Amino acid sequence: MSLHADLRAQARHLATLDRTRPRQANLRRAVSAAYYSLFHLLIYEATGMMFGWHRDRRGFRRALARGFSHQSMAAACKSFQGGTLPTSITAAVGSLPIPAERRDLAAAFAKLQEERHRADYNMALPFTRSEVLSLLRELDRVVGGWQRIRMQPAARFFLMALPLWEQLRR
Amino acid sequence: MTPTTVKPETLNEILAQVRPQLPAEPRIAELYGYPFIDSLGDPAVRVTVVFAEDFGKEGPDWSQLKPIQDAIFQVLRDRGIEDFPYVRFVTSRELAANPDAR
Repeated sequence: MSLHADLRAQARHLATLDRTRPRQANLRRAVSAAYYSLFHLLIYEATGMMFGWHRDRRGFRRALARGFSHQSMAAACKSFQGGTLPTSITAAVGSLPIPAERRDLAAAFAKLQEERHRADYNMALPFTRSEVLSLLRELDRVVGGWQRIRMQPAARFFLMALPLWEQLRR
Repeated sequence: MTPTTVKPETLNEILAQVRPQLPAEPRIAELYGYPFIDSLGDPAVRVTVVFAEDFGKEGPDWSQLKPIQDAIFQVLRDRGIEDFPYVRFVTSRELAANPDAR
């Protein structure tokens, strides 16, 4: 399996590992794995669309992958989720329709990144199992939705905008 | 630090208004929120949906939760609140067992 698929499976494993009261360590690592699953999926898709997925292009994909920042990706996703694309973009492409699948994926990415931050740094607000499982269900749904729209030009634009957001929104 | 754009009491008034429009199932015991600054440094709101019933080992079905999240997103947009909404789903039993998770 791919790294992103393995991370998603790991997240579910950790979230359901404890029979009774779940340990915070397992819930927090599940949230982190869920976030990184989506983070790596989007990078895999973006670099693959740029270079293709053939094995002999792997070096190019991996080199480019390092250029994706968490902050830029989350800022882009917030904008796509809210439908508030900057005028620098709408002036060029018009009022870009944002299908529900991409809006949902963008919302999930922003949410998972924030919850990953909480999982690692905010000990004041513990996670519950329902909360974590609902995040994983949301992740499953948006990954499925992404498969339906991933080849659309606007979906490709979304992928390319993720690492370039700071420049694009000026 | 960037100030938040919505007051806690305003947010909770809005949530109280949207609550009757939310799906009857799964039954919601409580709905509350508060503004905060998220990890990107942006104004945000964290909304907690507390369900009266427990879910099975697999957790809640997202198709039941999505309409609730969408309704919360929509009402905040309609009220001109641009703070990003982070919606979390918990159960009454979980909060009773771990009040810090409130």
